[in-house]
Amino acid sequence: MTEPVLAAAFDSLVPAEPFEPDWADVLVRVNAHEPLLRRRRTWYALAAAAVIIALLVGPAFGLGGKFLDLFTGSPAPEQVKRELSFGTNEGNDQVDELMHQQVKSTVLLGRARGLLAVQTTAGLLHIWGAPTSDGGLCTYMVLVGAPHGWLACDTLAPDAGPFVGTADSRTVNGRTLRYVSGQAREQIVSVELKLADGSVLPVRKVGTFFFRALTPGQQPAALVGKDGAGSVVSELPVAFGLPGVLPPVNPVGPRRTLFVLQTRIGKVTMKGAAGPAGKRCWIVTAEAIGFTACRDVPRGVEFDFGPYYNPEQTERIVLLTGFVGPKVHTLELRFEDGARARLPRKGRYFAYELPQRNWKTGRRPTVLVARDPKGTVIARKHVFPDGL
Amino acid sequence: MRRTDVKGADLDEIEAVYRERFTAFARTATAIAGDVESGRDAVQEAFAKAVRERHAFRREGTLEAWLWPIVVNEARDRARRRRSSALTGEPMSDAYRFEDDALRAALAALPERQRLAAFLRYYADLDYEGIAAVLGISPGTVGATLNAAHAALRRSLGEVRT
Repeated sequence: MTEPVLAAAFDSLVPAEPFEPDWADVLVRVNAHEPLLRRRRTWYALAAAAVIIALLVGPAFGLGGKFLDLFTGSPAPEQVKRELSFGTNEGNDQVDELMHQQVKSTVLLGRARGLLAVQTTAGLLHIWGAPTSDGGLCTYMVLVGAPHGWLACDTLAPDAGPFVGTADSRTVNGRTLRYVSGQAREQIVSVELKLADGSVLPVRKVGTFFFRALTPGQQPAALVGKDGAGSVVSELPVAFGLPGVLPPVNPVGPRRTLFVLQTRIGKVTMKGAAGPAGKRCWIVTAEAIGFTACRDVPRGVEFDFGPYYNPEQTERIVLLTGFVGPKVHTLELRFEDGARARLPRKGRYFAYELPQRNWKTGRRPTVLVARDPKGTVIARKHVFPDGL
Repeated sequence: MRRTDVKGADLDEIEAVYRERFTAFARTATAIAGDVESGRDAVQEAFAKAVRERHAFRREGTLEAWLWPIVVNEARDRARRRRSSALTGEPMSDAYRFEDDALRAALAALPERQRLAAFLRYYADLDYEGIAAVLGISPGTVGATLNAAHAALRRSLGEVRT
């Protein structure tokens, strides 16, 4: 296939014609900003993403804050290994097939170690890490005493740049942690953080992983990677407010139980709640995995589609959950083989466990169709993971 | 005389880029976000964010170059939220739909960096330097990334069509 033919294919995918600018709408949004939903970093998203080489736990450098060096290199406890295990992306070809995934990666739990213990303004933070079979790294960060932490896994593509990093913030039990972190190839010996005010801070680097906690008011501007001679290898703009680092939108109203499903992974509960600024939220809870989303009320349908696991990851189900707009009367799911299923609803919410027969190519779900009481289609949403 | 801050962009400048390059922004965002509505919303929200944070533009490059990562990241966020890469809209003819589905599947199978590079090349018409600035990689890496994307797409689409 020649490149002009490829260009024609791209043109057919997103034609140029229908787009009309609306500057007035931009200005309205300027004054009506609401933070977006934080991205949910599932292992599907993570395994296809970006970063690293092998995990090398190095000596402590003592840069950028109070680090508790005895933590570095210590074996991870079972609870942490269990959290890290959710970074694995293999073991069920059926789910991979359903989710259009081609990436397989296993977290090497036997090599899970403490990376850093950092005293931050939000409390003592433990950062655990484990390499993955595809040369990536999974990290599990948890504030000591908090009920849960957060998992992130990345694999640096061969043609990717020398390092990647993000600015992020997390609020747990009312404590907010702000930080920059990322992973670098071996050529990056040291990392610095430029702040918006022009000052420069050293960033702690352990093996390929780097981290720096920020105090309130510190605004990151760029991460700078340097080689062994101190020369700048790469500079990466980072800032709060960009996607992936947005504060989460949480439910504000009481939670109402909508669905209780008895499944292969045990009981799965879906609750609904009001969100801020007129948003609606839904919360799906299983023993080992949960999902919360708060989104604007749509004309058609908002949904999430993905796998849920039991704690041992020996069983899994796939759920399609979400809510519809006020004018939607029926919601129908269509499949590759032409079959259709009407989705069960409680009010505007719906929860549907995808049968295993629909995990296979040729029978997978394709599109959600929302109709008004007259049967007119008012929204169509494709059900197809993007692999990001 | 238009007032321009020593640091930061002024509203008129941002509006000018918005109007001049809206189609490129919208097509790119749509390709990334997965549907027209989300793509358009990503552009609108990205420019609202750019207006709010215009003081952060440090005039170390062009204003458009500063705006692209904001648009791309907004679109990426919507793609993650919606978990869909397919386009919504009116039903298409079978021939069209077949080709588009094949392209969608091929694009979905690409590593994210390759996919974004391809979108920025085709829909934004950015040169290697511009793509490099958006993705935070070197222009040389952009060439390799695009070559890999083209090869993968040619291979995937060729397989589908045979």
